[in-house]
Amino acid sequence: MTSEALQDRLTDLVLTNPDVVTIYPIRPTRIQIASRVLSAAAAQPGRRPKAVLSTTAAGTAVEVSVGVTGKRPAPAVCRELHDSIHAELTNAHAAPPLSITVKISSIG
Amino acid sequence: MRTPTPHPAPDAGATDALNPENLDGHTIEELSAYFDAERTPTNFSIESSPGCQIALNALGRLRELTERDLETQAAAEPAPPDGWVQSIMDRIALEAQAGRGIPISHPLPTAHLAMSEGVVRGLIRAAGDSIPEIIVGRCVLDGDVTTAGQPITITVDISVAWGENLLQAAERARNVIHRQLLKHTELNISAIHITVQDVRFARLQRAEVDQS
Repeated sequence: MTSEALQDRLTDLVLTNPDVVTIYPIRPTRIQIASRVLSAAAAQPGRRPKAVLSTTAAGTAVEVSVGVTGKRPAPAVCRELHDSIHAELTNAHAAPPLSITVKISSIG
Repeated sequence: MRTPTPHPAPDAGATDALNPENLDGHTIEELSAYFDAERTPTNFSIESSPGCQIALNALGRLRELTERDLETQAAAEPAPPDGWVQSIMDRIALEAQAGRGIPISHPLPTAHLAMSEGVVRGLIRAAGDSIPEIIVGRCVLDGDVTTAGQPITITVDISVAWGENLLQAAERARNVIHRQLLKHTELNISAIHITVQDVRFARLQRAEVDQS
C-alpha cells in the first residue's frame, strides 16, 4: 500500500468514528506570522484535511487533529482513535509506529 | 465566591485579542461579521480553524444571551456600555487560541494524545453559558497543565442577571463547570474560583418581553 493510500485509509478511519466531527489541518502552532497564508493553503474547497503520515526507515509517524462531538468523554474518544490508527498500521504492515499523535482541537 | 466588583477592570491581556495571530489569522470582528452573515459564503480558512470554531460557538451563545438582555433593557433602561459586549468578544478571541497542550494518558509510549488549552477554556465557557442567568466573561487555567497530575486552579469571571441569588448562581456555575471538566479532561482540579464580575438586568421570558 502506498503512503498516500494509507493516509487516505487512516483519514477515513478517523472520520468514520461517530464521535469525530472533523479533521483539522495540522499547522505549526508557534509560527503564526504567516498563518493566514498557511490556513488558506490548507483549507481549499475540495482539499479535505487528512491525517498526516510520515514514514522513515525507523518507523511511521501519524498526526491528526480532530474536532469531536462531546457526547462521549473526549479522552476516551482520543484513545479510541489512537488504538484504531495503531491497529490499521499493523494491519497494513506499515513500518512500526514511532509515534501516533492525536489532538482534540474542538469539542461540540 | 470572591467579592463582587461592579465593573471589570481593564485587562491588558484582552488587547491581545485584537491580534489576528490569535485566531489563525482572523480577527474577532471578522468572525462576528461571518457569524452575522450566517457563515455564508463558506470561508474555508475559518471553517478549518479549531480556534475560530471555538470562538464562533461562543459568539453564537453571547449573541443569543445579549439579544435577550437588550430586549429586556430596552423596555426600561438604557443599553449597557458598548464596551461590555466587546470586552467579552475580546476574551473569547483570546481564549479560543490553542494555547498549551494538555496530555491525555495512554499506556503506549508511542502515543502522544492531547487536548488544547483552548478546548478546555471553550468547555468552561460553554458550561457557564448554559446556565440561563450567567454569561462567562473570562476563564483562566493556572498551573502546569502540560504535566499530568499537576494541581490546576480554574478562575472564572461571570456576569449574573439582576435579581438572581449570586451565591447560588456561582455555585451552579462551579458545579456545571466541574462536571464538564471531569467528563472531558484528566486535569487534577484543585479549585474552581468563581468571581461575580458584573450584574445585568434580569432576563425575562420572551412572552414577558413581548408584553412589556
